[in-house]
Amino acid sequence: MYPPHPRLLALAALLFTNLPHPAAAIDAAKPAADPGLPYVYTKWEQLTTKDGLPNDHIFAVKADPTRNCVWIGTEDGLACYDKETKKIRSWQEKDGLPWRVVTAIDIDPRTGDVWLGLFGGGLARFSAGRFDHFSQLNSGLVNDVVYAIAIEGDHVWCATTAGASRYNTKTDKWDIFTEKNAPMEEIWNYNVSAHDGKVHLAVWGSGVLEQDIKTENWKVYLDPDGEMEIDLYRDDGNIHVIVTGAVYREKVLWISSYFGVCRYDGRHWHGFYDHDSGLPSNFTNNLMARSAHEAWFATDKGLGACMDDATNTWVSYTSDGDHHTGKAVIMRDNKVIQVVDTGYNVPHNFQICVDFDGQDVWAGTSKGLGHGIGKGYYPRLRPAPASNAKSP
Amino acid sequence: MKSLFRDGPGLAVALLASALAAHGADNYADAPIRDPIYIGAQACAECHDSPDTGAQYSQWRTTAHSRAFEALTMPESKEIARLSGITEDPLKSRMCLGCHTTASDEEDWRKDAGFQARDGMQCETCHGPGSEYASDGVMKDRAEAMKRGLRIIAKDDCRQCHRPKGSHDMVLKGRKPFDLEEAWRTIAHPVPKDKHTASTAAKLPARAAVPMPAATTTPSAPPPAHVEPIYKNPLNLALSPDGRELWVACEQAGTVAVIDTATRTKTLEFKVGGQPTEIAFEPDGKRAFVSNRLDDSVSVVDVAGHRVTATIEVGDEPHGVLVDRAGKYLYVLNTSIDNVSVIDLATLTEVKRLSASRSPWDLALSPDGRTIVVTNVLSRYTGDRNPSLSELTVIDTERAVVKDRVAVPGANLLEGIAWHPSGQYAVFTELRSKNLVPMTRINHGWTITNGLGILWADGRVDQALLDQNDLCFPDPTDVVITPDGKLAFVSSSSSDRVAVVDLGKLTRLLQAATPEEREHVIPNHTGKPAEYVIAYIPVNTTPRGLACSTDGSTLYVASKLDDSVTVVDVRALAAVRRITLDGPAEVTVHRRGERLFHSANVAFRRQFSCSTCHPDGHIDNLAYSIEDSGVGMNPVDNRTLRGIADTAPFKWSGVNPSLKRQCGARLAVFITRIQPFTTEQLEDLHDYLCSIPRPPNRYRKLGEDLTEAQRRGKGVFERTHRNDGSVIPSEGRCTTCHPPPLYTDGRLHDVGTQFPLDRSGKLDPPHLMNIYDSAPYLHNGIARTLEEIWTVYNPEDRHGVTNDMTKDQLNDLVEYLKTL
Repeated sequence: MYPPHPRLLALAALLFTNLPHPAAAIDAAKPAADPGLPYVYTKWEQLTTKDGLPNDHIFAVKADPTRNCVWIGTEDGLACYDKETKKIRSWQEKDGLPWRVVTAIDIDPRTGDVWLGLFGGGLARFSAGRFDHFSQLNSGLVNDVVYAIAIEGDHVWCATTAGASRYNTKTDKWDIFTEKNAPMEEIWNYNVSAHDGKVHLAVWGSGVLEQDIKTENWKVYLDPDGEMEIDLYRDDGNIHVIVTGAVYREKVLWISSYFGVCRYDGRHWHGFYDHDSGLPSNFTNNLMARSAHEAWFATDKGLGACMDDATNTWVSYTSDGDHHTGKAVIMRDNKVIQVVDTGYNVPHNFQICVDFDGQDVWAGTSKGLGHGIGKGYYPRLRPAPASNAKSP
Repeated sequence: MKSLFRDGPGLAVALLASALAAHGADNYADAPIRDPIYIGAQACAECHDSPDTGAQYSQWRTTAHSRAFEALTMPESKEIARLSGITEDPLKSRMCLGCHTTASDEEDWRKDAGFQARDGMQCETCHGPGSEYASDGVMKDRAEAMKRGLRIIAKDDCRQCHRPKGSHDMVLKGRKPFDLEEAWRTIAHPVPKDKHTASTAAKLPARAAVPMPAATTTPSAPPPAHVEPIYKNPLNLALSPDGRELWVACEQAGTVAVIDTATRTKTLEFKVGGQPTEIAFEPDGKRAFVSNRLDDSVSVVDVAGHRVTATIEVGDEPHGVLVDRAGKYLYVLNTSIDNVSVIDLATLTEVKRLSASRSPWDLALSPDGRTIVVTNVLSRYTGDRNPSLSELTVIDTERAVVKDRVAVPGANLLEGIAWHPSGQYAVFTELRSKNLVPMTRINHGWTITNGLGILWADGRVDQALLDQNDLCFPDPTDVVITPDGKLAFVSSSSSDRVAVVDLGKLTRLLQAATPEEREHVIPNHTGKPAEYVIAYIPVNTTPRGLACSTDGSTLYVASKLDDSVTVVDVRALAAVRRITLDGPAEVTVHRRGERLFHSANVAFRRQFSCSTCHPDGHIDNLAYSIEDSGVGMNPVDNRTLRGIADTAPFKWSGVNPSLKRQCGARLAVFITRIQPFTTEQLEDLHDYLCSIPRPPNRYRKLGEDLTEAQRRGKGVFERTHRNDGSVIPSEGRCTTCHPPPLYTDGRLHDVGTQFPLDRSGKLDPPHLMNIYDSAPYLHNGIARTLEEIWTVYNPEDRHGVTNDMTKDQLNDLVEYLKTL
């Protein structure tokens, strides 16, 4: 084998030394002991009714890499954004959608069927253009007010206002989980997720319920401080029983609530609040975890991303919709590290839902959908190069 | 209640208590009230076999009730079971055991060690499980005994078992009709009057009546048992990739017959699973796969060795099977649960289920190997008085997912399908049922028209008829296309013919037509088929599956009820040979009836047969307005014929006391509109109708205990009290109109579902066996699911008291109903 030509090596060296760093948008002088900086999304686009969405109240968003599209649940219809053509196709009740309000979306990775949670309308399967409707009247679904759904193997889980339902798509069997057969002190199920052999129910007033899929045994995570709205003993457990979401990734459980958020690695709990982290607000509507170390939270005052739990490094995205401006604030603990001018990012600060799409991120708000384009995304932290960020 | 019961048997039960006390037969004394269990007649005998009690036990031992279980071992019982569509041993059949032993539907834990099923219909059949009331102290106190489960039944309750049963009448010819009054007197078992006590008599409820199990009339000289021969019933065919062998799925024999295509003779036959239905070869021809509809499995067959090497579990009632071009996946259509199993052929394991429409049936791979199209027999639910809307389910083979669902309006019973070799279109068989059109209207093909659909590669659909003005083409079942793409052959399973369609003429006709003509005219025009149907080839009885040789010279036709394969010379368009599959030579009554059932000769213009509306003896998912006006006023849901032998009366209105009456002159007057069946034909047909089997219950396999949810649901089904503790009146309880073992009481009830144009709200309650696979529900088919029966169509609790139930109770009830 011949060695590489010296000119080629020189060219390669030149190319690499002149390549912009993935986090080139960040502009700060790096302290010697600085653990580094997180990736910041500096390129955003917004989708609203002007672009063809049936409604601007975005209740659910789900990336569909197989179809290269994003499914969007709104207050008045379902939409699908084709990332290649940039076209939006939508379905409303007149098009066969069984109910106008779509609050949850999940995709069966094996069949490609799109499952929809309908707020007041039950559950629907959207399969190759056909809507199948499951309601509390025509099926075993416990209640038609469906907040969230999750696909787990052959099962579709539904978080409803009167308990959780589990539908077996192979056998057509329905199971109901309420206070009668699960450690559910309240039955108002706000969220459900299924990952890595576990199903987590986020229950309003009953903390997080965890079912081991194999054994079907339940474990419950309540707030050791009771229902107090303060975290009396820090990091002693789930921060509150009124939870809005729970996602399990890489054996770490992330939880959102109306009183802050927390992380549990199976041994230690860690709470995050708006006063000691970059969480924009303790009022957190939803979350999505990307890894054991990164989770994004949809709050009423912006989109907060915990980019590295170990160093409590956050990036919060907020915008001024009136002036189409926006910024990303990098914080570590309660200190602002940098402020990055991202231009217009999330279309509204009232965040409702979030999902990842490879390196990209999608954020549903009360006034449209934000799309953060994550070219050069990297997980956790890296030493910061020179960039355009401004110190506070 | 009549005086007989005030003074006679009713009092006797009260005295059972004192008798028990006297003997101290009290293993259950002082126990708190628990779930009662059955203790068996021997336990009752401890006190009830003495002169003081009138030797009630010994008296019972002399009745047919005590021998009811033994009766199931007799050959006649096997014949009765066969006529009832029961495929298992009567001694194991829940349906038979329901009236031949006590507590047959109860789980083992509800039976004491001393309880013996072989003791037949025992004391606790009528009086309830005795563990909680059979103690000395309790039996002295009638109220306490009843609180603890003692039952006092009424005379009419005997009719739960003792009611007209066609299957029993056919076998036990000459036995006396059941006379309730006489039977009640026969089985009366009063305690001698001098043993009565005033105190216990005073406690008797006004309605008290105490029969021991009613005596079954002893048959007089039953005929010798008849063993029905096992026919082959070839359903579908597949040619091996090298073309040397033709494999035939023999449904009834449970075998695959192999025909040497060179000699045109059957060379061997080998066993596979129950009810083999379709066959698919791997592209390299090394393995073949056979769907076993009865067993919910697929047999993996080594082609060279002609032997089954493995069995794969799939979904309910697998039908069509197909291997993709790469030999990576096997697709299996689970026709009873509406989905498609995708089997990884490397590991022979199911990797996913795809949602089909309703009753997926057959499938075909496009010439480029990228697309599979699946036919679905039943229409999607379209609601009351809406036409059918069927579906072709289109699968992307690269990802093994459903990529499209093509709607076929106005059509149902989509069955066979074949791709044109050009890949430009696929052809499928279909019916265009006119169930919403008055039966008095005869133009546009009358009640049911038969035709073809054309699915173009771009997703458009055309429809065209195969019926002609003077002669219809009933039940098009399968289709194949010659390799040169010029001809399509279509089997008519109800007229013993194969139609030859010139595809060039058909496609040119369609392409030359206007959109209006293609949508509205050609699909309904019985004058058009003359332009593209170039021949009808007579073949042997009940042609089903078709296969065409790779050189296009030979067509093979499976003749189901002839146990043969018809060989057709494609150039001559004529049948040239009958290959026998060596079925039994005997043509039984049952076989003759089955042929009648599948023959359109009885209908005007030979347009349809019984099997048209009852494919596989089941349902076509449609509501028909047949009587009285025939002008479409009050359509009623089509009911299954599976397992109906003993469920008289018939029709939703219950006007027909027997199947013979149902299928006699009335059928000709209202449905077929020509000469009725002859008396002999009616006998044959009746025999067949009485024996259409039910598939095994998928929700509770034989011998399986109930699940927890099903057990809770059973409690709901049998409940006598609302959730608030108040008593549900008898007419509001499930078991009143749907008593076991058949879960119909054979009487008319008004459950509040009458439509304005219905003649009456009083309806015959359908039996509940395998109720899960006969949606939609209610007499007009308005309930799409079992849940809707109560959540939507029972607002006033007239169809059982259900509105106090919680959602999980309803779910449990549904889970239980599915086990029946």
